Amino acid sequence: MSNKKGPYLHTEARVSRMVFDMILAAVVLGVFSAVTYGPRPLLVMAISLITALACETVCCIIGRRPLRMVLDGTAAVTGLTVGLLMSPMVDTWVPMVGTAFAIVVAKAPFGGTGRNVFNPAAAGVALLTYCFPQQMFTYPSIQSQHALPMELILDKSEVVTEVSLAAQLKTGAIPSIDRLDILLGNYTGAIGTTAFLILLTLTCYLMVRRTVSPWIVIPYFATLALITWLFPLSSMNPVNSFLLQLGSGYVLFAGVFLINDPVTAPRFWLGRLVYGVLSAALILLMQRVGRFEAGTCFAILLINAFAPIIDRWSWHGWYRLTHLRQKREEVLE
Amino acid sequence: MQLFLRGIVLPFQKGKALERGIENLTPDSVRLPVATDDSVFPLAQLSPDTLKGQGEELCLLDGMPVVSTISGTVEGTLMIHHPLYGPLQCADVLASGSAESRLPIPKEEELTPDAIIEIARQAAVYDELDGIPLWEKLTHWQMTDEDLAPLHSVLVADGTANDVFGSAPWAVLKDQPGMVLYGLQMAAKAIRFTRCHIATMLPKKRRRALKKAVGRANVYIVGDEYPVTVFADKHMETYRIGVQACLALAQAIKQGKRHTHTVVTVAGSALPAPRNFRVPFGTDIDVLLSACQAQGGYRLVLGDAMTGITSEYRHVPLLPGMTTILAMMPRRVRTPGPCIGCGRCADICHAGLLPYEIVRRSENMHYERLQHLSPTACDGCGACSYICPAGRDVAAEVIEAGKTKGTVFLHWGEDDHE
Amino acid sequence: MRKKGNMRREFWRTTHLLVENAVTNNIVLIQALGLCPIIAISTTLQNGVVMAACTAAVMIPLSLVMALLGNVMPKWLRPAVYAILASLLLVGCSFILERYISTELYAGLHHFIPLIAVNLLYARTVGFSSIMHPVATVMDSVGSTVGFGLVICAVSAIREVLAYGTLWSIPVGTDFTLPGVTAPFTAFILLAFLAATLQWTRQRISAFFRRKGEDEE
Repeated sequence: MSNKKGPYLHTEARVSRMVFDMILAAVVLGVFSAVTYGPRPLLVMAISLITALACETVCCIIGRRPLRMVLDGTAAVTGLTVGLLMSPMVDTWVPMVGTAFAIVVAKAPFGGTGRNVFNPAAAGVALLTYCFPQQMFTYPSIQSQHALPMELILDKSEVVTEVSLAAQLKTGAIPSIDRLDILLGNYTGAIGTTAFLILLTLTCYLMVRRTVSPWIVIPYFATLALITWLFPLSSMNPVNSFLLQLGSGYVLFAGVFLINDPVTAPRFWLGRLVYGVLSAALILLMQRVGRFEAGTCFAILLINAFAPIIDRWSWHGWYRLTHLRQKREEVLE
Repeated sequence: MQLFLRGIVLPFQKGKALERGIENLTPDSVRLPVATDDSVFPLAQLSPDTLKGQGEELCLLDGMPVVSTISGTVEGTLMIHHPLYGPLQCADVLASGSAESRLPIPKEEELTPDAIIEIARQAAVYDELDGIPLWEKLTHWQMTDEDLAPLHSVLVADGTANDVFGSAPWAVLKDQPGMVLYGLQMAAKAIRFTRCHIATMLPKKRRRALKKAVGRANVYIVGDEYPVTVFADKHMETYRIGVQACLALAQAIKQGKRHTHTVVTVAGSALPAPRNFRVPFGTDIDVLLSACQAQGGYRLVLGDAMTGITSEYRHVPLLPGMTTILAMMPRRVRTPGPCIGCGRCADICHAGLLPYEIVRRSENMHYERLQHLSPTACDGCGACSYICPAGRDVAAEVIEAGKTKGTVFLHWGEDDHE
Repeated sequence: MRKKGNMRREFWRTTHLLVENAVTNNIVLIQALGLCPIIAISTTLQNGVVMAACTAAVMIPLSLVMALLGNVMPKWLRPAVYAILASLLLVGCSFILERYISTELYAGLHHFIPLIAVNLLYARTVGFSSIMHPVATVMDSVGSTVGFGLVICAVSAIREVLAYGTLWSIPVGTDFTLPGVTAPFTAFILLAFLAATLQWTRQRISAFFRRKGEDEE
């Protein structure tokens, strides 16, 4: 006689639903970019996605994991995230290299889904940033109304390029951009990072669906606001400064996708709070004094390395605190 | 919408069981555990011809008089393996006649604390929360709480039915609220508590009716989170007994009835509707299920949907401590995925543990580092398994980790030694 | 008959020592010694080969000398003697490299050649050579050197191909280059992958030699 114990009911919340939400968010951002630049951003994302799935399949075969683990969708999210951080006019081999690095080096050797220490997408994009800054940070102008041609490797001389906000800030210049233009995403940047209001809406949507944790997101944005208020960009209006800082580089995007990867973030609520604050500070530091115009991925990798320690220490701290309080109450009684 | 996850709320599927009321069901035969030297539940020590409620003069085991729950004749004894209580020597009793032996009814002034406990013992009152004889619990609390100021302690009749299907305590509260309150007050008197109340989470309308029946001050409404941990106001030490135990005590004192019947909820996805039955102890569960038109192919679960135990053997006698019986249709088995670190198990754990970390360390066989997370504090409520989006049975793994006293052969980090 | 068996057993044991240090218990990938030169300078194959040759030139004679003198010397004297001998050999190596082989190579490597002495050899020579039979010592140091050389050559070849598209300064015909590969982090990643591959194969290899040794006994 075999007796099974345990709940015979489960919540409807599933990993697949969380993954579906992330994919949905990525597709929404891709479509927004496609409205501006023509269908080429979707091509970049698709190539990235296919590479991710192919690499994951190979890694599953080598690691003798069941092949259905490819379909759990986490690899797809990684691929789409890498794709979203590309410039719309990037050569298509660039996202392939980034995604392959993400899956084969940053994810599979650690044991695959749920066991990776570093965010795979951040690792892939960090490699690309280090190796091909030229490819990554050349953005097409948003003013030219022509759709980008659908070639795999664009002739860069034919595309009108524009300096991004982050690059302007890096040189110390003050971008002459309206507050409304930032909110409407009327500036150039990587595929997924310019849709300002859509990104904010997606954050709220994902929070309501509990796919991302408010314990990370709210401290993250609060810290960004605090830092930009205390140290505004060259004596700017704090609100303008905050919006500009969010719009430049991957700062806003990281708040939705990169720091919220549950595998690499802490899991205890206090640890998540600390993680959100620290990552905001580190990302701003990388953004302002780093070598590249978008150093977010390096900051994410750094903070990922500390996530387990933050998690553990915060729990022990909290446990000790509550424990002591209880003990004191007992003594008082 | 609850943004910050704190505790879970179960989707109640109690149906119309409360409106239907309690149905009486008399089985043709009952199967009662017989007193042997090592039996767990000495419910009955029986002579061939036995009377309902009879038996206190026959034998005393563990200080508990043993009673038969129906009048009838003993057909024979057999050994059964009860899924909850292990191997039991059982007697088959065939029902015949309706005579009943009752206790003498005491006068009001005779009800000293020790007398109440003695009545609880004579009437064989069991606490349905855990199947422990009520008099044992009361004696224990009386001993431990002798010096404690009764201001900080409260005796709670647990009528929460904090389960997806179960509604037996609610039905009892709806049926005989006055008797329950009387029993509770008697139990409180037995352990010299000045405070006692009925804790429940009834629906709003019923709540009002209950408050009207027993008085506003005697009802405490608990939150609808699972599991219920707060049964009283802050800074109160709570002592819980079941609603049915209160009722049985009241009946024993007022009417001299012994605790022979219990109310049990029969529900589940394989049944058309959940129903409450009042049946004698020892009733075959299969009788109850067939009374509910259970289709074949279901899985029998003894206990509630969160912590119950499946049983393949269906002819299980109903014993104290069982208030819910479920017949669940088998669902498609989902293969558990890897933990993706959503942290929900830690968010909802009422014991304040880190289930994901306990599971991870136990999987990695870091047994020594496991102890700092105090996995033994887990009471197995199953909320983490319920919430886990990867479909893992977290609660079972945590309990397993709590039992583990493995040798330490990996010693990689000393970082979190307290 | 018995003596022959002993001989063969000794042979297999010595060979095991050699193979163990070179492959199964690789001095870099398993014991994690000598990581610094590999991570810093293994960007071209030439660098790697020169480094491996220097290691061999220093380590093999040194361990032989230490094995012969080890029992004569008191324990406290060994490190000092070892350090003096190693620096003498290193000076010789550097001199030959600079004068007769390539000045540019020496210019790139001269910081790292002295590291050989402290990094790689200390543990092996002082701990092992002084107490063992000279033949075993030489086999051991040859094995270590070969292991170090194999790893540094493999890593530097991969990095050269990836970073410059060349091998030993000869183009290999790949257009694709990853300029970031010259950064130290790629060497760590490559070493990790090599170590993982080795862990996977080493059990089989050591099992093979254990079986052989047991057969002869």
